[in-house]
Amino acid sequence: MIWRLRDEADVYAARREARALARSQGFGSRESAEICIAVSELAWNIVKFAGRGELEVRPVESPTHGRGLEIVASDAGPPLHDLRFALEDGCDDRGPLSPESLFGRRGIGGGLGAVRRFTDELSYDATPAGKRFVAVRWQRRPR
Amino acid sequence: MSRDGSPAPVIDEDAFDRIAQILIVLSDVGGGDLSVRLPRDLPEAHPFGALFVAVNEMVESLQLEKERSAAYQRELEDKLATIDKQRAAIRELSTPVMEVWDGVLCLPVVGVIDTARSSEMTEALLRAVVAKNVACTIIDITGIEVMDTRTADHFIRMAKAVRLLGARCLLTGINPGIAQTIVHMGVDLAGIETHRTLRDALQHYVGIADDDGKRA
Repeated sequence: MIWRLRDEADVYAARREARALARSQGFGSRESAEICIAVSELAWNIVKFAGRGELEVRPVESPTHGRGLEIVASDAGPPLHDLRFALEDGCDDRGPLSPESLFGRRGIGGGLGAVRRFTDELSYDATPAGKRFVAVRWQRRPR
Repeated sequence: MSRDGSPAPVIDEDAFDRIAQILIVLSDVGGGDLSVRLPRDLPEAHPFGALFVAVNEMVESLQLEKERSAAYQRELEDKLATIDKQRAAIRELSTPVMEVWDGVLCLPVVGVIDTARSSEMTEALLRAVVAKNVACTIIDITGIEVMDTRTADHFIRMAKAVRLLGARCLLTGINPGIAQTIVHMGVDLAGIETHRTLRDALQHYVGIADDDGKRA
């Protein structure tokens, strides 16, 4: 499944359908909600920071981890300034967010942290043409 | 005399006038004025008669088309405005802050909570606490199955912020999974008051308020 994201409504459509896809792939209710949150966070980042982009969720399979879902989020926006900061809770890609900057931001600097916690693999790459996150959530979680 | 030396075709004065009329109308049309028309008083046998009628018909249909597309555009703009309004309404509905009792606000949290929604909720609740001058708020998360640690942390902070604003904050409807998430984060839960259900919290609070004789 692939979604073109431009605004809030697209984020909600993508996460709702991704949740249903997770259910249909054999993920439990709780696991599907976790996948839904991961998709939501990646989709929000695209709409908030790049304006538009694309998100794809597809079933994958591995001999060790069984079935899984791969989430690919790509956009043509500017690359992350520093991935380590971006993954850190309470930070954007440049560093810690001050508490007062949170008001009206529609976020708390925890989106990628949530993606990392709710998925088992997360990779990021940036090219001059844009950036891309690939996250995988397995039914038999590795750790 | 034309360039190749053959004699120029003779055009009478009337024909010149007619051509000038056509050119004026076409230039007006080109400039966007579609209300102009050529005179309709030519005799039927006049050599320019058919041309005049054809030009008028063309301008007429252009004008119709333009009006139609303007109406369509207005309709489209109306629809876009409606969508914007509905979107705002949905956002508001997703963070409903209700006054369930005199001075008691309730924030029922349902659906899937990501960081964007948790931050919208905090703001809506804190604004409402101040604007409505409330004494107590109840955050009910019965409808939440999963919460990321960062989001749970944010909710605990929201409860503390409510206390800073001078109101009590009760958390209700925490499910076992989220309870585990919260204790594993190791946050300080001092001053966080929880109840099993929204009903318990309301009974408890309203009971206390009655005892104080402050609220009915």
